[in-house]
Amino acid sequence: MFLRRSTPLYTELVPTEAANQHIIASNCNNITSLMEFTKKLPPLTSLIVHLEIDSDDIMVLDGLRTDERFQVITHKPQCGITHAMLDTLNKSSMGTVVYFSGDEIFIWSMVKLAKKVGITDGNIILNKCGSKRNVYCAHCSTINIADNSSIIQCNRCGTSLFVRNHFSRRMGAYLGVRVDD
Amino acid sequence: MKTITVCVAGIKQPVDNVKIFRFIAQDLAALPGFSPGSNILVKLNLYGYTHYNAYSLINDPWDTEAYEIAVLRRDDSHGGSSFMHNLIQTGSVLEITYPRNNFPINKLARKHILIAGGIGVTPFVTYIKYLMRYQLDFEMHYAFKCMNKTVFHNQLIDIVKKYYYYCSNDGKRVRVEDILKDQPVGAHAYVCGPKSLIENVISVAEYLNWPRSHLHYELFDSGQSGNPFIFELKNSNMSGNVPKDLTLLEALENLGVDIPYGCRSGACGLCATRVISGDIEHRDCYLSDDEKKEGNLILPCVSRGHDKIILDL
Repeated sequence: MFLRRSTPLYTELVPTEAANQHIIASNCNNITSLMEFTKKLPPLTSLIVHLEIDSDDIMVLDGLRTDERFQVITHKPQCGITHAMLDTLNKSSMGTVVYFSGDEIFIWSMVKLAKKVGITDGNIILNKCGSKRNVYCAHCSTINIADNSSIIQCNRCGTSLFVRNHFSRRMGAYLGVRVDD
Repeated sequence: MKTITVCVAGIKQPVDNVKIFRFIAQDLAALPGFSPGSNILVKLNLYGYTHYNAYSLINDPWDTEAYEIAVLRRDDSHGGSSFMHNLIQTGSVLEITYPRNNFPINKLARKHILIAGGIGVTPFVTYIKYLMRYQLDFEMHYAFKCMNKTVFHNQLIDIVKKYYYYCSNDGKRVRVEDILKDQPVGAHAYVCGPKSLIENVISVAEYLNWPRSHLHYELFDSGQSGNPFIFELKNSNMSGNVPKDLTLLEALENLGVDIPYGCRSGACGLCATRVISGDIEHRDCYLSDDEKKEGNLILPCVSRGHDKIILDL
């Protein structure tokens, strides 16, 4: 499908070599990719992971906590990750690279935080995992939580919306316009 | 180039080698407003050539009754600064350009780190007025040679809370890595001074993974004098020579060649001109190392040629 320039590009979760500190926020259950990430981490750099997970999988977290350079903080879904992340970002120093891994709703809410503290695009790595995304209804301005279907129904006005690849970074949402009858 | 006619309303000499000139409009009208970090070009006629010297404005940006600039007398002066020191007196009439700003404050920064070398302190004088007025977080680092020959040091020590100075005669050197590391995310650094200081800051910032967009610099002390050389313009079939005290840009302007320009100090890249042949002595901070090696472009405002260069003009 044709990609607009506004369509976000997502990459693999791989550490940036030049960074002096790495901060991950993830709501992705794919812990293996986090483990892989820690293995590739350059020496003398620290890592803080904010993880939004359903259950405390002790085994997995123990795996991540093998190194004293790593700090892993877990959060129950919808519970406190935003505040904790903002606190971490506020305390971080220049040269930090942040990685957001999860569905697009989660990713773009985190990007907003990073921008708020002045982190620029070059130091923000996005890794998509999961299909939830926001769709902005062009007719009633509602932001709908949707999956990756190309046609959805607006929760507020009921219009059938075609989800375009036109993406707003400010709203963290794709544009949905009425499907021709 | 549109200019404003101004009179010199006063001259102060706070230290031996620096004079502060105060200009008012000849028609006594208010002068155009400007933003912190702005500079003006002063038009000078030297040895029969028209010459433009860039000086940062140092007066309060909210005061448009007058403009003030600080001029350092350089021992190796190519004419401009000694002309200002020796020949300009109260009542002299000069032509200046409208203020322009190639070195603005980033208004979204969470913290501002100002690093000045020598007379490169001048743009920060207006920065500090602005940052203090709006109570923004900043720190100032000032490197200079000699305490007695340093302008603004005494004022800065009094008014700036986070002020750090490095006097090389006292054996103190600025350590850029110490300044830039552990700065909070969202910080922006601004550096103005000699090329070596700017290059040092750029390389340290790169090493510390600072995004380039958080680093701002303005080159002072570009050292315009150098060996004379000849230039040829291939397309317009003209040629000329660049005497030791003139820049290539000024030589071209004196020949009537209209070249766009911005900072006239090798930082903005607006005057970049294609070179067909000839060796270039690059003195700018704009072209990348690779571009300098390729030798296809020259910034005529600061860079010079060896013997003879042919330009695509």
